[in-house]
Amino acid sequence: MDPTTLVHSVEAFSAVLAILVGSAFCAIGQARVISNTMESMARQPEILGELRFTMIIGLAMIESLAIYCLLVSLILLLLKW
Amino acid sequence: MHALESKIFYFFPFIPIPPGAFLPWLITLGVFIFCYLATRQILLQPTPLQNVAELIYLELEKFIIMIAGPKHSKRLMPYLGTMFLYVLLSNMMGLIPGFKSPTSVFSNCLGMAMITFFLTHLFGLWEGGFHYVAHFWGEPWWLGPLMFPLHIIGELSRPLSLTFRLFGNIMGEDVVILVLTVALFPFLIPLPMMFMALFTSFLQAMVFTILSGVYLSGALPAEGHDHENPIPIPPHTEEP
Repeated sequence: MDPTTLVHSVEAFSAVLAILVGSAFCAIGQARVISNTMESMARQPEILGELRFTMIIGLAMIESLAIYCLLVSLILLLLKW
Repeated sequence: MHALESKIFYFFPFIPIPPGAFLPWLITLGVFIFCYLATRQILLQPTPLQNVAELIYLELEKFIIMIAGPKHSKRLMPYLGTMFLYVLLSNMMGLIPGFKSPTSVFSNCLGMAMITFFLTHLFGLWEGGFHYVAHFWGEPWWLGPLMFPLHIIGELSRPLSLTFRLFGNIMGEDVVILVLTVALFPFLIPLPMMFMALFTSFLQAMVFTILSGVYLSGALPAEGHDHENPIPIPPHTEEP
């Protein structure tokens, strides 16, 4: 196989792997956050707004890890080495 | 990706400006004209346009008081409110056929995140002075050489994640709508995805504003610890 083709295919594969693993575990974490927040909302509806606000901040923080994976895969795909 | 990008139906090919630079001007002009018409003549019994403007302002104020607290909200309201409206309108611009979201261009998102970044540190230096610089060094002074690089990396990762969150979400949704339109059928097929895009546009504008507000109010001194301007105690009233 041509070495350039090999490098490109490995780049594409690792880009897909990065975003795959990152978003999968990010989804698990976000699901845990949302289910626990829903439980607390059902238990204490009087602080619902505060809970929702904290949940959105936490979700954004968790999501930033998936965004770093997106960054890595975009660099792998778009940057020509 | 470039093959897809060239298939975006952009309405203004005769304007030699890229859409990421032209559409923000259009948004700014539209908001300016709306605000001018709404506040040209402020009446006690509001006209319909003034009513809409008041509704938007009051809801935004409530939202920003929830983010930044009642003390800082007065100071952060102009910046955060503008940012929310601008990001929301930019995100929704991708839903109009023939337009392209300005926030799906990387440089626009980076610019907005950089404004937040510099404003945060400007507020911190302005309000805290030396204490703001010293808090990067950490609490036990002998852990400083370890904590200082960590704090710097943490500060630098904020605009990065702000940029990529907005860019990735909006570009992703634009590309999905584009693929459904170009590859499948340009009528009714992309409609569910467009509803999804309406929701994501609003959510991403909200997340961008909340995170900017949290960063900005984190640089300002905490509520209730202001010794120079304490909250005025109401004058003593006679007991009945």
